Amino acid sequence: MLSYTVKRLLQTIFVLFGISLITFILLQVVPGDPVALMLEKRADPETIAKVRHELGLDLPWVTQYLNFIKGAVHLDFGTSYFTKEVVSVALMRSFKVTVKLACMAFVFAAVIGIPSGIFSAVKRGKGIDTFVMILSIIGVSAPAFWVAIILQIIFGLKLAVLPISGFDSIASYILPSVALGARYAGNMARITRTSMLEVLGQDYIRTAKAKGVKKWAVIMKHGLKNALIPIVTLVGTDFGYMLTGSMLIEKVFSIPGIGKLAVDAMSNRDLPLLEGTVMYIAFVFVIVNLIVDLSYAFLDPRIRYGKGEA
Amino acid sequence: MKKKLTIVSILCAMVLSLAACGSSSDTPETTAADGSVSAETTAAAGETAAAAETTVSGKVVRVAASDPKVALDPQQYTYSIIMKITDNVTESLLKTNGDGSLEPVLLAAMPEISEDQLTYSFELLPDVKFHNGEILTSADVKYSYERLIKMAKMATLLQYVAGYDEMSDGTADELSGFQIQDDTHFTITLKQPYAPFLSVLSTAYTAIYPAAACEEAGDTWGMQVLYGTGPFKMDSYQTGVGAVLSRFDDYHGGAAKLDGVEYKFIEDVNTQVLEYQAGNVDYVDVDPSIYPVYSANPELSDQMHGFQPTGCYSLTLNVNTYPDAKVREAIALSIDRAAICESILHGTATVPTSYIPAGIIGHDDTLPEFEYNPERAKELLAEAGYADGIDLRVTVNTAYQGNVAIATAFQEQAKAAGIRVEVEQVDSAAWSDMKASGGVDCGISNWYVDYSDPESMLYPMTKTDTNSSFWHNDEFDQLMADGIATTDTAERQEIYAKAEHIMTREDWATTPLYNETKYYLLNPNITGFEIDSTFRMFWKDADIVQ
Amino acid sequence: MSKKAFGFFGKQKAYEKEVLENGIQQKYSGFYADSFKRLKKNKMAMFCAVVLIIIILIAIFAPLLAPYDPTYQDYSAVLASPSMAHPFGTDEYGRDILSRIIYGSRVSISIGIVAQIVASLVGITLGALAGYYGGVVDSVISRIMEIFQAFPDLIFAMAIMTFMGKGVLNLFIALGLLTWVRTARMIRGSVMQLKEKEYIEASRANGASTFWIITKGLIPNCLSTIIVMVTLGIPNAIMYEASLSFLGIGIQPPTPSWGNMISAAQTFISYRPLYSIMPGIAIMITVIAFNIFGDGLRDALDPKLKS
Repeated sequence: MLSYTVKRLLQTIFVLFGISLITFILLQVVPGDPVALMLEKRADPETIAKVRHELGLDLPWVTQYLNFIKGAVHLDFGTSYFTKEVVSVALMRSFKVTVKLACMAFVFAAVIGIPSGIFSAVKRGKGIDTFVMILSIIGVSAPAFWVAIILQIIFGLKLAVLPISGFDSIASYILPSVALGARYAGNMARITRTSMLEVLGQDYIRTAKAKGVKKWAVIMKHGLKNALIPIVTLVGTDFGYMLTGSMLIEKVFSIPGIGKLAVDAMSNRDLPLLEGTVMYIAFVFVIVNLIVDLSYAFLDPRIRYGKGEA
Repeated sequence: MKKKLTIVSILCAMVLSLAACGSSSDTPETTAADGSVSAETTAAAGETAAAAETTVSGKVVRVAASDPKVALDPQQYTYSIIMKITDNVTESLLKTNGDGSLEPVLLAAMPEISEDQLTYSFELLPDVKFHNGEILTSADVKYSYERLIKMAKMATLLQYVAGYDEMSDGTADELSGFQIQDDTHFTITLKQPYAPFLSVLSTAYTAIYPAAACEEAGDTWGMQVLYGTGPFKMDSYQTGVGAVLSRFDDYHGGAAKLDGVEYKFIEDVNTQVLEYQAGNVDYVDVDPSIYPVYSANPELSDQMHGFQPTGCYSLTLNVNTYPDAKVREAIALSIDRAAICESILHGTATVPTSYIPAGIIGHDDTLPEFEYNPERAKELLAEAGYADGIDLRVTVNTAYQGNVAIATAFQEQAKAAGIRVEVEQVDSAAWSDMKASGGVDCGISNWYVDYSDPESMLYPMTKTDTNSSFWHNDEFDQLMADGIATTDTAERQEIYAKAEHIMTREDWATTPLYNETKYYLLNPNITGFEIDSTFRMFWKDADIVQ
Repeated sequence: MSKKAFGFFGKQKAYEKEVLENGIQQKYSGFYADSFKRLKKNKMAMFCAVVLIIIILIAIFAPLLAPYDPTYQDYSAVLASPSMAHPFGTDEYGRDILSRIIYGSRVSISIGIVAQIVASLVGITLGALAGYYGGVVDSVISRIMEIFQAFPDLIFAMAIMTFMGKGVLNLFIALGLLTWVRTARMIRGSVMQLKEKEYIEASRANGASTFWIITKGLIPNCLSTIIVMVTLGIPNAIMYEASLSFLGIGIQPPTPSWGNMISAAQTFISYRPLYSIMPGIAIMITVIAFNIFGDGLRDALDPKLKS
């Protein structure tokens, strides 16, 4: 187990390295020059050359990349070309916002998704089951940004009960969390239902019921516990996705999270900021997945991570 | 089992501590932390903002704006949103009024100009205070202008000042044409007569910064620190969040009536307007595409105000891709400007008669409007050897969704002339790069004057590297040179009208599309505020009445 | 939106896990006929299949069904409200919204299908190579897959679309590149299991080439996995297209796609609600139909998964 963890962490370093390299190469081949953007209005070639030199963009690609990597191993991604803000500071600032949004969206998704999945499984085939499943499939099938806009109109403007945009109070996170969480809630409901159905069909549940143990006690104690593995896997990775920020939701609700930071960095071709953001997102993604895999082993004693399997 | 749990928890702890490390090591060096925190709380919706522990309360105007994403320093970045904020914080020596006239702001009187039009003598107002308490001196003016040159972006505004070249190429540290007599008197000497010079000194780019504080702030200037002589001081600014300005009680022109101005950065235009409708902001720009939505609503239409910024939308053609002027004329004839103004822009725009807009020297309204004539366009294409029509790649910057709409309309209209339009949408970074490298065959863009002078309007066409046309015409360049050296208005009118005629009606290098009226929604409780054709936002005289 | 946040259905995930752990079963003759029988019994899936056929027919016969040319701009009816002439009204260029939705089905369906074909080609090739060779090849390919998975997808799409230029073809490629990893992982797992089977060992002993073994011996046995992956991947791609359109890097004007319609309609949502709602509903119906049908297909092809 420990060696497995170490191995995975080593692989993570490799993956992060690969990601930084791809990001770097992408920014070199993509049309668009941060300096041209900075100087757009009255720039002449001499001025452009001067600024390029100041930013170190006149160095050969390899040197530029090595310089970046040198900093990155010390977690120093440099400063943004445009705001001159230290990249790690910008990341931390956006991360705080994204974490709040992710947590609320996650809570929303889990609180709605898991219980309705259980309920739906227990009431299998009944009207309520169909209703929950239809709702969940709608949640999964509606584009999140579209749901977001509709929520803004209904709850922000027409009913005027919730803030339309912003990120300063808990209330202003409600609509974005719902818009972001709807899809995950749908997912969770479906997987919980499937997983519960499998468990509820097992002999020992029937035995327990036959022994007169109360229905809900059986469901919660034996059923849910055993159905938990796939749910945890899903829920864990979902949380990972949420933590990496949602560019579209952040755009609609003007939330300055990681997603917005990444899109801004990309559209400005702000290499240090983009490298930092992309590597941050990849890091969170990989680590969350690792934790999920480990907890999977933890929940199901039959699973052992050993040699050869990855 | 327990062992596993331990490992998992260790792992979690590791991740958490990693995150914690990041934050703890960063906090000391950033005063930004304070800025961001207070901005975070102030950017609150409506009343909660004022109630919370923020820097401003009372009469505060809340402005919905797009996110500048960069330092609030017009010497470095020229997005209009930056000026909307900084114009209230920093001031230039002079101010341009809606009618194009100039008035002194930081000067005791209008500068004296020598007989040969080369030397300008200035006298500063006495005891003007910067927000950090320092007194404005000639040295601050000199510093600001030298910084403008060093910052490169808008440096060429001062290219006719003696000593500009030496400073620009790095052989001199000081601007030799700028001579300080004493703390309130200085002269600026030009290399050659330059008619728009004083207008240049009224732009936001030539705002006066306090030398010592600006130098000390370094890269944090415009991010965490911004001092000026303006009616409001900048309390906080955070990209992606907002900017908070509060009244400067020692303002040399008498303290403003408002307690503060709060800019909220809302990326999505639709969300901006929703926030206005919900009463959470007091000012919002209205995109022409949604004009009918609000003009149809009687309540909102009363709150909608319009102004005509001095500038023009145009279609610029790359002469390297389309060397034949006939082809360029054909393209110019294949866009239905009237339909765009009437239907796509819902009557918020008018078809121009000249590229130089009304109110600017050189504007000629005796000319006919630019017309839509697909038949004539076809003939011209046939004459040029393209009887089967041509393919035209129109590039638009996605940052300006309005331009995408124009391109989409043009695409359909041009079919009648046998021109097959492909719309290419690119982001700002790609756009500026492609423009500079000649990758834009046909671009839709707008240009607003920086100062009320035709030179500011036609400037991009004199240098082949600042527009996507790469058009070059000796006669035009000569006229432009004559234009700045001439002070007689009638003479200048003739010179610039002629220059424009060459550009838009003989060579068809760029073709005007429309002059727009911009609209904004303003809370009816706000008085003393208006945007005029200079397109600048001054909250100095505004007030909130119930 | 994060990687695969779209349409990754719980069940799909469970299915992947199942396949990765147990491998897929050796298929017997008549397997597909049996599967089809099972599929026919699933009423929901069959209903969705009918819906999909209708949508595909609409896409094919769009020119016959649409009342107007979808790019025709009627300046006298800009942003018209719904009427007999324009049941869903017109857009900001005076184009008929109904016609654009009908034509939009072409883009959305073809994007879904072609992007999945691209994803399958890349995914099957790399997955099969990794699974068959194992060792260094597997390690390298696995790391590449991880890199692709961890890379923020919309940033990747933005970069690819800016690099290659915007266009339908490039969008297919970009979406394919965004979604191939899932297929590759499945195929890798399946191939790993299958290559140990006797008949593969036998062909190897008989001197069959590696290429033959992979293309004739292994991949056909993964076919049902691939079919399910493609079916469930299509709605994913449709959702991606909508998101990319919202960021302005999807289908370019004047071609209508449901995604770029929703995105354009955003501004008018309180003024002309149908303009935004109708393409949204079109997306939802298509995505739901593909998902339920895909689920049904999976259950039919893999009966042991049925509880």
